[in-house]
Amino acid sequence: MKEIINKYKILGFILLSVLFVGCSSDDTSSVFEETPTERINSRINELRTLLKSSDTGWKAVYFTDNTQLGGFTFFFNFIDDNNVVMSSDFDDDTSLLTSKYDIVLGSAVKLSFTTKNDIHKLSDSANAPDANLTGRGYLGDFEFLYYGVDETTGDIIFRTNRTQQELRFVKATTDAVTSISESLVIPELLNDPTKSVYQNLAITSGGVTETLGGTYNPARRFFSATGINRSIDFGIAFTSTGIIVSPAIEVNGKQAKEFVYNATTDEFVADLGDSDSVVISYADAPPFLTNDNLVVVQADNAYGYIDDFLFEAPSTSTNYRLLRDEVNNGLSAAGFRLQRVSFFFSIGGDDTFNVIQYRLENIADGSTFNINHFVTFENVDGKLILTDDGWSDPGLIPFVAAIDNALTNPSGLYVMQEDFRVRFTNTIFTFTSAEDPSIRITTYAFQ
Amino acid sequence: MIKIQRAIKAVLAVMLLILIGSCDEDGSLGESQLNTETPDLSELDKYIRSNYVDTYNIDVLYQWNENVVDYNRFLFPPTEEQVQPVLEVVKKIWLDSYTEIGGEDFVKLVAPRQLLLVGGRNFNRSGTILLGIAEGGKRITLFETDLVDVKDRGNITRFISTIQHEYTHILNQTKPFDEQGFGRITPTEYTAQWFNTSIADARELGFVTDYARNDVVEDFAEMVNIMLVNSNEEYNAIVDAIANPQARVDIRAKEAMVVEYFDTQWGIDFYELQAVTARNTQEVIN
Repeated sequence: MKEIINKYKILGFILLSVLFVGCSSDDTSSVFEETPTERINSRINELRTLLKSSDTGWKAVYFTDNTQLGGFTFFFNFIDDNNVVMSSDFDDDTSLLTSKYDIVLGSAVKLSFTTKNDIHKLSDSANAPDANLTGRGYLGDFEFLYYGVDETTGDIIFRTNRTQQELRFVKATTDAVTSISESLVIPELLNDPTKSVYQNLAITSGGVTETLGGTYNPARRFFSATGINRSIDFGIAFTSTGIIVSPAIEVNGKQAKEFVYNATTDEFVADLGDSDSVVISYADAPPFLTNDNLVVVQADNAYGYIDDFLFEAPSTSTNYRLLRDEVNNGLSAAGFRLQRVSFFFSIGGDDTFNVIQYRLENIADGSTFNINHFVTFENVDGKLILTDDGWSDPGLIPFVAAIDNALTNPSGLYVMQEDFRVRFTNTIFTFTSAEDPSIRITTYAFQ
Repeated sequence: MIKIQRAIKAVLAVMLLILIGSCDEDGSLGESQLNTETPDLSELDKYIRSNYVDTYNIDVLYQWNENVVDYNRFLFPPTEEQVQPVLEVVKKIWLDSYTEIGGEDFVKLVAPRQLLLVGGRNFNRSGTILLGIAEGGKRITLFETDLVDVKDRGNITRFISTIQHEYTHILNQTKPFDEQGFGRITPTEYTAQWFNTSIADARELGFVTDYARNDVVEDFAEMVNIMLVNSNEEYNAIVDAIANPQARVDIRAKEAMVVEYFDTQWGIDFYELQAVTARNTQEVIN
């Protein structure tokens, strides 16, 4: 009996073996004609040839993260198998520099800029646009995964190594480098400190215009616009004639992406045809008025500009800073400087008792004294108008007149409660001259 | 029994058949599909080959390779033109000094196998800066290559101190020092919060730098570092300037242990090494 069982076992083994052999397929043809190594090599060679194929080089507009940063324009010329000549509009230095590049296998075949050049400025942990990006620079990559060629346009399609965002290398025109140099004036037009702090984003669609109030952050190249019903944020890159925005703004099924600067009207215009357009322009007033001017004058409210903390605040305008410098120049001869400008409203509930107070600091010993300018207020058309009602020390008026004239101009002030903080948790209110909206002062609310 | 033997034979025969079948050979291996050509060597590559690879068996990585750098950091490779001047400084102040005192083979045998150069600063998100890393004694990463000014002593000192510090770790990993004995000198002042005290305050507690307070191993490396990036006179001036007499005694006790370690473990007269390093540093700056 045992022997029979053994026989079956043996038979089983044999059958199993036969089965194994039977399972081997004769179909040994490959899915691809080449081995993986050959395919990778040919992909590497393909990209290398492609990069060198453009005599005029390549141009790329790189938005590292269009939810918080703008775009940077690069020019690349791959002069041989190892060296690339590069320029960019990252800063004012647009000179051409040579560095190394390589094409290697990462998660796919990738172009890697292997020694320092302009592209690495986006990936410098020590150089961020502001403190919120400390350690992360401009979130840039300098290794790009190769995804082939756009057959229609001839663009080389890459994806960034870290974030897998598409980045296209477009065949450069002969004036690509000059064009980068020319584009350096555009940021100055978009962020002119002598002009109004208010910028509008006007979207015209089917004959109806929606206006949003915008703020441009020059360090981040980023525009944030807020309207009544929605907010629109986008990064900005510069061209020789205007700007490119990303993400594009959709209007009536069309994409507003490229804006041209119109010097006559001082506007950036994306003309989408059929009277549809998107326009970025300076504005004399905020696009919609708030009631914040009515809020600040409530009984015993106080707001203070503290020079040590708010002079550098992004919301403190350049033209206000110039006024402060003018005041300090006058005070320095006497050994003083401006330490604070405060507003006290409806003191003790008396709405005729209001003060703009200038606190001066003795530079030698740190002691302070105040100059009080008593004022009355009116709220007219969303503006706060402060009117002279006497001074504590009339002889000292000339020392603070530069700022005081702006604050007590009969045209009044636009008051805005801001949604950001500066250093402390106090709510921030800004006061902007309606007469000259390039003058804006930032204050802490003290209640 | 015979049947079992037969059965085994039968199985073996089948297996043999399968084996023979699988031995079917279509052709020879042919040429490698990988690129086996010698890479084009630039002047810089040739410098590295003759001065680092051939001489010390140390490779220098200056071109970007994402596999050897922290992927989550925003770092970048050095400027090519900056690499050789920096390597010359490193060779002169570090490698040549150890070779002169320790002998031809000293660094060849006890050295990192790779020096990785990174161009810029390595900022943490908190705003603190990482100066260097020694990974398992095999690779030293040097940041800030692009910021080295070979004519500025303070700048050079800062850069070289990273190497002196990290190399001490490698020496310690090869031949350990008396950690327990060293740790008994200032046992209660080690803290992970070392960065909350200034260098001056750390010195009053018996440590040459703030970072030395991190732990015994870092304390030892910082002792070596400060003694080598300063001449003997400069180092003595640092110690003598400390107000707390106990702190001076403690640092001198640590110094004695460093000197003894180099003597007994490596046969190196540390003060000679200090003198040669100071001389070479001066020559670089001149």
